[in-house]
Amino acid sequence: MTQRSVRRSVKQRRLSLPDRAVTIHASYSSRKILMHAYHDLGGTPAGPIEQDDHPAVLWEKRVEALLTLVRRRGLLTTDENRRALESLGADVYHNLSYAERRALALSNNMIAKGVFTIDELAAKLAEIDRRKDPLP
Amino acid sequence: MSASVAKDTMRTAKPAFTPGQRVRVRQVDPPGHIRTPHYIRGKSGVIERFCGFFPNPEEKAYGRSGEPMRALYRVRFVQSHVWTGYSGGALDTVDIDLYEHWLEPAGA
Repeated sequence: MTQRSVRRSVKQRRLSLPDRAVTIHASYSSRKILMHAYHDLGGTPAGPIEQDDHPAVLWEKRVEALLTLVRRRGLLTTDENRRALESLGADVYHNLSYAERRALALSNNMIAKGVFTIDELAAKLAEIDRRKDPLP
Repeated sequence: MSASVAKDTMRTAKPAFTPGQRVRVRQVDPPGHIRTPHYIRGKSGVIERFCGFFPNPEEKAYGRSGEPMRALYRVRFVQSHVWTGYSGGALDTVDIDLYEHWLEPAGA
């Protein structure tokens, strides 16, 4: 993993970076080199921090609101949410935006817990596709 | 395990480590949801404080209760011991909250 490839992954998130799943922690000072999970990036060369942040758009705020609501209802714990994020796979995790991967992890957890079914989710997505304004 | 058993455990259990004690982070790579950062595994530090007993997030991540509760510590590490070629100050430290089952007494 070079600094340039990390920068590239930040700038062009859609690029496929399957090699990140098995990144060796090069700066680990122990003689024994361990593999680290793709989300556990502490100490990984990252280059300069991208500063051009954007304010959260409506659907991104809704994802966070939904996460808060399902936690308050006792349908999800923070640790379950984190596990789901860490179970998306390196490709999906690094190619989706922050809010996209949180929406996907939430959806996976709700299906696993039987809050809604895959068929219900598919039907809802199809209904949204038919809308003139997908986010009223 | 029921909540009452866990509470009893919490009342009677004492943290295994005390502030000032040297500990080493276990150098293991288990599957599942792990809160211990990869970069600190195998490193030695000093117990800065005992933070209390908390449900185990490695269990809670799978929908379980997280009981029995686990002792959580803030552990202080010297940065130059953590990173190869660390260029910051020699006295720089990093504090990390770590659960007791990730720690073992460190040799001298």
